[in-house]
Amino acid sequence: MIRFERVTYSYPQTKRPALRDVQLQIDEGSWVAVLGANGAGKSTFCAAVAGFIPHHFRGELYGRVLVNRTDTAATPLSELVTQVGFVFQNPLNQFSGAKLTVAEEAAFGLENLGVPREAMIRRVEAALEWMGLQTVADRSPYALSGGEQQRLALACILVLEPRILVLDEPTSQLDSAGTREVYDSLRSLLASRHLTVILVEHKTEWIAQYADRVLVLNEGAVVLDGSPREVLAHADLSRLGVNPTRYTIAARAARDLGIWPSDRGLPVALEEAVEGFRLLQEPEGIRP
Amino acid sequence: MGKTGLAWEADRLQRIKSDFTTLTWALIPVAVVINIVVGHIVQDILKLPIYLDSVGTILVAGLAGPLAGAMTGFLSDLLWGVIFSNPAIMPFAITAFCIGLVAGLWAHLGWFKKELPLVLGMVLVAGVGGLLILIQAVNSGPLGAGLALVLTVVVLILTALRVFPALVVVGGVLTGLVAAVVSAPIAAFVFGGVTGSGTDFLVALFEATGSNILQAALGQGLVSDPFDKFVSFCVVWILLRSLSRRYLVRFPRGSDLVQEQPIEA
Amino acid sequence: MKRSFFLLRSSGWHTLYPLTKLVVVMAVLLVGLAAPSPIVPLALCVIVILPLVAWAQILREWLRASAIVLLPFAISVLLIQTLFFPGATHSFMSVGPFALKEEGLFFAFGTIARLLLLAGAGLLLLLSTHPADMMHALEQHGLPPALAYIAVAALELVPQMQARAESIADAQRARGLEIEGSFLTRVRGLVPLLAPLVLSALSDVDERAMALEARAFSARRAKTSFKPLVDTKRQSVIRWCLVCGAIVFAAAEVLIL
Repeated sequence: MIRFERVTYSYPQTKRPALRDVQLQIDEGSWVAVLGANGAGKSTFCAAVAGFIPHHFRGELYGRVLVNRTDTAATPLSELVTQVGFVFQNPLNQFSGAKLTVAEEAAFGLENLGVPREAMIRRVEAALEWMGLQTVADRSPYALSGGEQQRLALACILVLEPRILVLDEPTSQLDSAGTREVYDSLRSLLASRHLTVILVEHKTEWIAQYADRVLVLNEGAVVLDGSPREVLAHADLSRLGVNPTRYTIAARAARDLGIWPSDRGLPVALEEAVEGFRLLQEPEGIRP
Repeated sequence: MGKTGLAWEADRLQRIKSDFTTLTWALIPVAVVINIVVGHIVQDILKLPIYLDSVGTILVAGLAGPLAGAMTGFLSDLLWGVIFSNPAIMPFAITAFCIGLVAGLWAHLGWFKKELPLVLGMVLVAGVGGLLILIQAVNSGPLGAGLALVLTVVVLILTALRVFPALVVVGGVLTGLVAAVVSAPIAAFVFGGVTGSGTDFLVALFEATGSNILQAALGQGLVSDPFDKFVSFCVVWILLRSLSRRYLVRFPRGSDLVQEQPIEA
Repeated sequence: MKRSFFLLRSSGWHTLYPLTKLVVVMAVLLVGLAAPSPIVPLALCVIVILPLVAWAQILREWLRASAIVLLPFAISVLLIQTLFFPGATHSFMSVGPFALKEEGLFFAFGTIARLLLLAGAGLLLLLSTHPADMMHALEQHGLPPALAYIAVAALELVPQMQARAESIADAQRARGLEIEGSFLTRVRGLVPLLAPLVLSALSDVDERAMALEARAFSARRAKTSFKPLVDTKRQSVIRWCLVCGAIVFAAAEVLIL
């Protein structure tokens, strides 16, 4: 469980806060997507969940961030990492760079924590299996495809067995096949291990499909918070610098033309849109 | 009340320890590779008569202190030997270590951020140039002194035109002087004075005009190094100005490198 | 630019613990370079290094790499020192206005012999030991893990930076920048090539640091190792013998000879 208690934060050497009075609670096992324009505070929000704020960035933090009831500001980062895992945009930057094989790279975090070798081997094997990387365990991390590299980055964090995963645009460097690989691995993990996922992602189509809660940030404040249905079809979304899904855009265009009934909600995912447009073609009377 | 020697030592140890944050450990490998790749591009691709293989070292020395800079330099030379299969150059890692140490000292004294009045700056640059000329005159005669004079005139003009701040120029030339003094015995005893590179003609020239091998090696170093380190310091100064203040102050000694400024809105 | 020139072979030398190889090479260098006579390094090269190179099955590559390191240097030192050796009085030949000096020739041979040993022994180690394995071994013997980390991380970063440098060079060339030609043209190429490279590399540092933090890099506990230790008791004994032997030999050379 994550709780933000009236959190306001400014980076060093700046006056304008990057997070403004954020107050929310995220329950265990939920998949939360974070949206917003560039500079809206998405990465800052993630850094606050993982404790990089205030530990890594310093700056001025007001309020409290609680992760599983511990105050992140009062816990060293090296202890927080076993509770909150953080995955970044660019896989190449998050590899230690000091390991020659996929398995060694995955073990790096456990080495730092001083985990005994037998336990380390077991946990590395498990994490590689969750991410579907057993077959490449002896290859160089740099010889993998983009999707594989990002899954390895995830495995490197999963070996630490955190309860919460924070992913800051993990698929921005991937094509749609790579994106699907990463999301499907995540979804099966979520189901089997009951993890909480916090995800920054621009591709709203994916969010509609996978997330169960969406936050929209603007100038450091949470301005929209709800289910993907509520938030992604919200009239203010574009104004807040977030692209609605292409299904919402199509249905909204249809509504503006008077084809889509104005009392019916707009779809956010493909299935809903297909269903909605199919209904349009059938006369009201013979609707089952 | 004066501190006891032991307490003072403990303070210093604490300071050194606080230089090695995770950010520093992440910076050092990047800086090592900057040294190697930039040096390789300048020497082997652009084929310019300059080493420019200590930009990363000077940068780390400024951002994270003398010891971090020294480690960066030392490691760069070892790795250069590994990557280019040339273990013979590895002894010069000692020179690179010293470059990091002194560059860190200059940065700590605020030489990358202090602006001096023009006249004082010119006097300082002339003083350092004069020192170089004097050492060269004693060590390798009129030829060395003449070459040192040329460098002095060039850096004086650049300072007068306010292209580079006086203390950056002074730091570069002084670092070059230290580098030359440390390198000379290595070059003389390990390599017999020459290194198989373009600067060997200078060694020949100095020997032909009466220097012994150590003097000739020092003479060559005193021509190449002050110029190279002067350029490197200027490059680092330009880099520091193009990096954001917010980025720089996150490093353990970043505030030594940028002027106090009102907080941005 | 490759990361390293490590050559994988299934030789007995390759199966040795990296630290043992390092100690062998260091001991040979100590004994060889402490000797005042150039005969010692030359002899060590022939009777110690060369057989080890053959054992490691890297003879051809070793010869090639040694030649690349030594040739330019050897030519330079021979030329300069036979012509200009300071204070030389005996000349054995004269070419035009120049007298070739005997003392210079001897000095050049002595230097070449020492450098042959330095380069030869060094290359034996470099070509037969992966740097990451070497750092791993040193870490197991007390080198701080952070130091081992920076060495290997830098090595692994080289090809990435090299690729980035090439893509920057291509982009600048496409925009009309010339990096070949006259001296001035090349000087002008300096900033557009290097500034984006260095600045983009530095902008990665923060994310790399956070990624290290995310993996408990700053944990203040005793670290463990995923890779097994392959050292043996026998090798450890051999190493200590080599260290002691080399020190005694080198001291004897300095004091007696």
